[in-house]
Amino acid sequence: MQEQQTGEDDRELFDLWFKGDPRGFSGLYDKYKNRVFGFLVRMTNDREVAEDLLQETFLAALRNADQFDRTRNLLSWLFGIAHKRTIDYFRHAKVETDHKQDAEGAIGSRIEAPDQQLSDENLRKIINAAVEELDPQQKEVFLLRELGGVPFKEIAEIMNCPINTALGRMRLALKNIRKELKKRGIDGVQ
Amino acid sequence: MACNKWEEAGLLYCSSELSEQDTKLYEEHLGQCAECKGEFELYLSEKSSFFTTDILSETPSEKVDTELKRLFTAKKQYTSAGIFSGFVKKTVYSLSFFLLGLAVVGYFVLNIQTAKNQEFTQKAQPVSEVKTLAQKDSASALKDSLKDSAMYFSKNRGNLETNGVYPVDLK
Repeated sequence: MQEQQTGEDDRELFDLWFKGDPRGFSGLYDKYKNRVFGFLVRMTNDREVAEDLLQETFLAALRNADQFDRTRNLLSWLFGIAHKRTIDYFRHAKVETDHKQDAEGAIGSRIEAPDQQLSDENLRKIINAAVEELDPQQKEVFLLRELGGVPFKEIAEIMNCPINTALGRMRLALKNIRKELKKRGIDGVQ
Repeated sequence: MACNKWEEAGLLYCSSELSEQDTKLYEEHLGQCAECKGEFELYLSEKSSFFTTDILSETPSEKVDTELKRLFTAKKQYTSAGIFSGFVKKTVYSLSFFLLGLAVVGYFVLNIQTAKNQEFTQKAQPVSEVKTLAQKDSASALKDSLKDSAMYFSKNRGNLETNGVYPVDLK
């Protein structure tokens, strides 16, 4: 029900945007920028690169507004564009190795001692560290699904793989995150 | 895991991607299978406690935010209506330029044609004058011609006579 309401709100904003009213795009940007940026930061492990990709993502959305199928979820569409931009970035910059090394360094510095009291910020750091530990493909599926709410069918299309592969990667991602959380002193749900 | 239903349909059920019939079947299964129910509840709890937007999302810096908003509001909208009006404008402009070009070229072509016609008329005039002159002098020319013929006959009379030709004295 809430999702349906969100969809209607998005459509209204999208209509405004389509008519050339800047409030439409501004509204959608404010609503989704943090989620898209969260995806980009976790995929690239570099805030500056993620900010560039965020700009590219929304500019691409702006340019290709005509191609948006209104029956689809707008956030899924934005995540699809963001995913493509990320892949292009890795292809062109060839930074995958560096990115992995940076991620490893970053995780070490961010993780707090497991027995430390779990404030919201600490929990956030621990979850994000567990996500960063994931294999890139598992991370992609996990973030597309959990942050973007992209259906598995669309994830399979975005990642150009069978739906069962996407489901398999998600199951592994969940399994690995649970394992990492356990390592960091969080066993199961609080 | 002894039951593989969670792996087959559990995640699709959570993302509302199962058909109506499969949803009913899986819900029935959840009521019977403790393992699947446990997985389902664990995933839902993780989703609400750990995998939330607050935890997973990030905020871009204010500078980038402002810059992006400025870009987005300044950026021209490429809508189908906009593209159509742009197309009409371009067509009208192109057509106007084409017609203007056509008029200019036509003007020059017509001028050249007129100039040629005038030149032709000017060249044609002496011929008619010659004709007129010829008509005027036709009598004297005939006289000269007859004079020449007479001279010719007088020179060749002997020969013509041997061949049995007797010229008529046109005089």
